[in-house]
Amino acid sequence: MTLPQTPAGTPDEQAERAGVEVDLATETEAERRARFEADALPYLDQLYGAALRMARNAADAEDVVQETYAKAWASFHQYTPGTNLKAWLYRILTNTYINSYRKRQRQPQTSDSGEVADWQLARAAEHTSSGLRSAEAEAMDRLPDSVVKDALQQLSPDFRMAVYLADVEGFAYKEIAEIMQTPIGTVMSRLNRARKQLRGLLTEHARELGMSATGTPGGEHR
Amino acid sequence: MSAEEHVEHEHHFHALVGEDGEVHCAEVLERVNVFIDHELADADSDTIREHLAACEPCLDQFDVADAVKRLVRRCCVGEQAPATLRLRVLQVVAETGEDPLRR
Repeated sequence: MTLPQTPAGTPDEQAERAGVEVDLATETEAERRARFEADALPYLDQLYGAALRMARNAADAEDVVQETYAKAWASFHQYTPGTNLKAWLYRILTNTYINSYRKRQRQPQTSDSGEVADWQLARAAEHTSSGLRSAEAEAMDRLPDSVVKDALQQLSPDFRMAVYLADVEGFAYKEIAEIMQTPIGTVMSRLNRARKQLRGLLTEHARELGMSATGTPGGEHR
Repeated sequence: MSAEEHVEHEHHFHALVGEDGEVHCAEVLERVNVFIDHELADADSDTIREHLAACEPCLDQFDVADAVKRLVRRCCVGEQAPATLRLRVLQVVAETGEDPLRR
């Protein structure tokens, strides 16, 4: 298998300038505003990307992000320079989304599509036969982005968020726990269940598109 | 449909190396996520790599899990905020003072 890749964090390193001394007591508001723009604005694209996956449409995503920045600026004096600004912003984004937008989204649309049938989970958990090694993985690599986004959309918001934070942003479990304000065990549960569902959905798509060489179940396990 | 409807329990892994001194598939497979997320201690990761080198069915499972992880990243990474959003954000920051309660 391919070894897990190290999460890329290129814009982050640029944004977090280590070692810049900030004297919060004497900093003027104009200086603080400049610091906010310089340090927090670089995360705009990333936060928007996350909001797009959470919100129902692009307009909602923009609203979530704008509100996130408004709140972040309003409490920027509480942020300790040099600590994890990205996680801090994501936490505000998550809260904003939960407080203001999730209720609105709780419409019939997602009510039962978020649950995946047991047989799908069971199928996803099956071992593919050793003769077809990586067939499922290869089929998935060829799935178009639209299919993956649709599948993500079918997960419950908490599951989707956990997967997004882990896979797209490369946050550590500890950071995800802080952002989502849950114990690490809950993060792990969400990731486990979310990925099982995701895999079930993607395998289905791959099969429908005739990409998946699935067949005989079950290699032998020790 | 919220996650709260599911039972969310803490994770307790069984020992990776069993009492018989062997590494079994069940204990390897319950660590798929922590492995691909780099959340596992190096020694345990090494033990798992050894097992995967010898156990193709387990390797398949790790392979697929990793494929899904890469797929999610591939489809979500690189979104660009519209220029109008950037302007809206800058405007909010420019027009608003910080929390007035602070002063």
